[in-house]
Amino acid sequence: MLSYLTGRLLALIPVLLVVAVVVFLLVRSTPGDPARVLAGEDATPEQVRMLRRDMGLEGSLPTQFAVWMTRAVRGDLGRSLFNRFPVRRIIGQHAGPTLMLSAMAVTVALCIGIPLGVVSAVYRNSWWDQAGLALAMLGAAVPTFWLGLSLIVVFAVNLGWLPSSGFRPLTEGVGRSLTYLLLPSLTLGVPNSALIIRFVRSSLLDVIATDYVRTARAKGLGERLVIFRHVLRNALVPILTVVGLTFAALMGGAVVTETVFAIPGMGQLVVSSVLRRDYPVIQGVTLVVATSYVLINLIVDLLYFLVDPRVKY
Amino acid sequence: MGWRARVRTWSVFLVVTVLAISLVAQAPAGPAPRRGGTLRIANIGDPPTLDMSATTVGVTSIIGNAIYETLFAFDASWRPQPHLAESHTVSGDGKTYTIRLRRAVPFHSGQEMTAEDVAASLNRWGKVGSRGVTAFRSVDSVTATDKYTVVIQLKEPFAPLLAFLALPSSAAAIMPKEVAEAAPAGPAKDFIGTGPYRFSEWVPNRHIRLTRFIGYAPRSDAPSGYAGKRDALADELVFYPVGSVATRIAGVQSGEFDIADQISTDSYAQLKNDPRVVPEVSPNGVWLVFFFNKQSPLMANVKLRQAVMAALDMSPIMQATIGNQDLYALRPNLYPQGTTWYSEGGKQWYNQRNPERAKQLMAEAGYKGETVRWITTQQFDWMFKSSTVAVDQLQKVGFKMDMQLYEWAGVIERRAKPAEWEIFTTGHGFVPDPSLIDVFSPTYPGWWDTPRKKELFAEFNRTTDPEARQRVWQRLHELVFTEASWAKAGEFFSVQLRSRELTGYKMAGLTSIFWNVPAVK
Repeated sequence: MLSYLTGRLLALIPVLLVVAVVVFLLVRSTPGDPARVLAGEDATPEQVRMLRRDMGLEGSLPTQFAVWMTRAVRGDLGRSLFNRFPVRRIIGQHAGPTLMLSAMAVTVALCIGIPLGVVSAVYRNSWWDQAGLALAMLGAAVPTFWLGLSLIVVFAVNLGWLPSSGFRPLTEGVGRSLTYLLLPSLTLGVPNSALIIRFVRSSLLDVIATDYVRTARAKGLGERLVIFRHVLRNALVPILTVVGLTFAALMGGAVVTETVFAIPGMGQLVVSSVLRRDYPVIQGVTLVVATSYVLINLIVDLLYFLVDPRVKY
Repeated sequence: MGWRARVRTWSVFLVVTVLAISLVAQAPAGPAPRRGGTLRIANIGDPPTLDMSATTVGVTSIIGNAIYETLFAFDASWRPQPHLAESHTVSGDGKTYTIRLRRAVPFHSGQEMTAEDVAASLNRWGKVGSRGVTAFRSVDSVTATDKYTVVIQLKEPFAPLLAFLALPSSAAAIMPKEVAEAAPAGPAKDFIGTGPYRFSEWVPNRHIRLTRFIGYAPRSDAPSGYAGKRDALADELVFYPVGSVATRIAGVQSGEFDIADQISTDSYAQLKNDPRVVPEVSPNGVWLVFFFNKQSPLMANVKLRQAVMAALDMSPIMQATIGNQDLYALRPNLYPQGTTWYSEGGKQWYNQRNPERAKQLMAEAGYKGETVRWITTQQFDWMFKSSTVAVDQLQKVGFKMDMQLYEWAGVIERRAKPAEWEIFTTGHGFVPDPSLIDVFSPTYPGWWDTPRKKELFAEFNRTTDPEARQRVWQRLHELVFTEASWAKAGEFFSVQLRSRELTGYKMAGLTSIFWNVPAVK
């Protein structure tokens, strides 16, 4: 197990190196100069040159990369070209909201997806099943932007029950923080539940058809016990994969939802940095997202070990 | 009654009368403005910096305007008035400005503002601010001659100097000397000014918080525009970056925000009927303009530029871009009627919508079907929509058009390369003095630098007599059209949304004013 873990962690290094090089080259080859963006439309060429020097953008690309990489391996991701805040601090400030939003969205998706998936599978081909599949299709089809704005109009503007946008950290009160995340997590959770409904249904149907389930029923076990102790547990592996992938994707930032609800998460950070060509932030965020993606996949693989006794490392 | 008694009676009467008059004179004209609370403003996004000198980005001005102050400030009639300056004199030859500073004006850091701080700030502005760079082409030196006196020595008379010093965009913001000297080439790292609010906290993409500066030294004269007394009525100003316009609107409707900047014009009519909110329309329009690249072989030809102007029908362009006719105007004059700089010079060139004339000019220009590259962006949909309609109109008269879309950062970069475009779209905000109009800068993309323009513009800047300057302006205004430096499509008026409970707030002509405004909560 330890050697497996070590191997997986060491494999992170070449992944991050490739990501670092690709992103570095990609952002610098994209049209757009951060110095011009900052200085404004009527900046003179001399001003732009001076600003580029001040931003450390005047050396050759290999030199710039070497300087950045040397600092990055020590954990120093540099400073934003614009507000000059340390990139690590900026990422930390944005990772928290994304983590909270992702966790709540996945919770919503599971709370909707698992029960509906189970009902669909157990009452296969009944109208329960059709309703579950229809809801799954609706959830997948509804545009996130529309869903988010609709929730804002109903619950914030018309009813006044919930705030329309923004984020409050846990330090301002758990309840308060959660009220700001309720609508965005519904906006993200509902479409993601669609995938989970389908996966749970499909996975359960595979397990329901097995011999040991038939045996369990033949032994006289109650249906609820059969489903929740034998069927669902054995159907968890693919469900875990989907949940892991969903969570990893959300950690990269749900840009549309974060924009609609003005949540200062990783998605917003990536978009605003790319639009401004804030190179150090773009590079730092990409490395962090790549790392989190790999780590989340590792955690999911380790969870297989807990869920499925046949899995050995 | 004896004479003593009469004297006594009259004395009492006089004293009582005097007392009564003094009490009435001291009585407040009305209730004192409410103090306290937090003013919550939703902006279109996070600023790149809060250093007002280092950038022209609008969000920076909106926020920085409460932190920093300038030597002069525009009053309600767009005249520069002393603000951090107490007074100033100009030498007879117009080349020496002696500015005496107000005393006992503290920075947010506690130290008193002195002439050394002002000189350092201005010298820095002359390098890092695009307006400063322009102004400093005429400046020889800026020095502190004593603790409260700054002398600006010019190479030649420069009539709009005070306007440049007063403009709250790429502003000549006054900061401590050590802050200015620590950032000689880029944005300042510390945001310390003399304004009624001090910088408190910036969490990127979440909020920027300013708090009332307790030690603020206000002017005593009545507020007028950006000039006069500034009173921090709200305890705090909090700015939230909210990229989605629908969310900004919903935020004001639900009470999450007090003010939302830049509301879409599509929503205006509906919001006018919403009892919870009030849409505020800017008193000054933004000029929607199509700049010609005079360094491009095609657009260096004035006949071809005139052909473009002849072909364009501005009404459908503005209609498609803005929609609501209350929010745009079709007019050639750069300044509204009734203002100092109003002029109708060149109006016959505006909105000609004459395809036959355009074709004739194209033939005279020797146009052979070369591709005209028009660069624009979808990031600002008004740029995209206006460009789309204009490109279509030009294609119909025979131009071969190539409309190229980039993000705004890409447009700015491409626009700096004369070999890569012929026309680009942008907006130009109101400026109180025509010298501040970008098209006159020879380094602004478009590169309008003909001998006639150079001569007239130099004369306009050298002429210090206001009436004489006005006369030069009439000729310059006409030249903008006859030399086809740009094609002005029209003007549109930006809209802010405020809560109906917010009183005392009006949309200002340049950048928002949040002092003298009481908070709702």
